[in-house]
Amino acid sequence: MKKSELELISRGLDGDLSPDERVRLEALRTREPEARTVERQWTVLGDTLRHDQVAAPDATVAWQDIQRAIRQQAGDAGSASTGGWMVRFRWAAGLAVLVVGTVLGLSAWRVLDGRTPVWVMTDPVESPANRVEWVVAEIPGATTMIYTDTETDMTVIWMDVAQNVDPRDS
Amino acid sequence: MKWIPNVFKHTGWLTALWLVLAPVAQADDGMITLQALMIQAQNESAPIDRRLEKVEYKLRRVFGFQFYRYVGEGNLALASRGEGTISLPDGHRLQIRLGGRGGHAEVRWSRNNEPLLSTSVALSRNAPIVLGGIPANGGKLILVLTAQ
Repeated sequence: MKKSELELISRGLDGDLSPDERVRLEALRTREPEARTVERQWTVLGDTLRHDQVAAPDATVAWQDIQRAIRQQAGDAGSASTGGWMVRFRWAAGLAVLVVGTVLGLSAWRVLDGRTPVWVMTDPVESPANRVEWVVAEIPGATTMIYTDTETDMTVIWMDVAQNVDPRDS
Repeated sequence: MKWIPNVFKHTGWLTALWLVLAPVAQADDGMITLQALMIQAQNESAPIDRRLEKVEYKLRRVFGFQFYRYVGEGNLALASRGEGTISLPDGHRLQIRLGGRGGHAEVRWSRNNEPLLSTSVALSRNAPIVLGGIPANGGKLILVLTAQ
C-alpha cells in the first residue's frame, strides 16, 4: 500500500476526512482487502490504548526522581575518587612509616653499638681537603713540610731526609 | 578513622622487608675503603703506566718531578673505628687506625719495621693525602692514600 493510502486510513479513523476523501477511502476499502485489514488492526489498537490509558506522571514526583538520580551519580563519582585517594594515602603513610622506622632503627642500632646516630655521622669528612693534625718524622734529622693544593685537593706531607729541598723545586 | 587498620595491614610486609634489609644496610654502613698507591717520583725517564692515570697529572701539578713510576698498591676496608695494615713492596707498611667521628686517622709508615713517618689527619673522601720524600733509586718514594 502507498503511504498516501495509509494516511487516508489514519485520518479516516481520526474523523478528519472531507467528503471527497471519504469517497476515496470507501473506494479503497472496496478495492484493497489489505486496506480493510489495516484499518481493522488500527481500530483495535486504538481501542486497546484508550482502554489501558496510563495516567500522566506527576511533575513533582518526576523532578524528585531526577534529583535522586543526580545525587546518586555524584555520590558514585565521589566515592570512586575518595577510594583512589585512600589507596594513595595508605601507600604514602606506609612509606613514611618505613622511612622513619629505618632511620630510627639504624640510629638506635648505632647508639647501642657505641657509635653516633645516622644523622650526625660524619666519617670520613666530606670537606674538600684533608686536615693534618700532627706529623712526626721518625728518621733522625729529617724535617717535614705540609701543604695542600686546592686545585687537586691533595694534601702533601713531605719529609726531607737528606737536605732541605722544596719538592716543588725538584 | 577506618583506614588506620588498613595502613598497618599494608605496612606489615614493608616492615618485614625493613627487618630483612636493615642489617644488610648496617653491615655496609660506616665502612671506609683506603687505597695506598706507592710511586717513585724521578727525573729519569719512565714508561707511562695506566695504573697511575688517575693521580699522575695531579702529582705532576704538585711536584717538580718529570716522571712517576708505579711501584705497588694495597687496599684496606675499615670500620669507622677500625685498625689495619696495608703491606707494600720492599717491606713498606702503612698502619692505619681510624678514630671514629670526623674521619680521623692515625697513619704510621714504616719500612722493615723501622718507622719512617707518623701523622694524624682528618680524612676526606676522594681527597688524596700524599706522604713522601724517602730517597729511593735516585728518586723519591711517594705514597698516595685515598679514602673512598
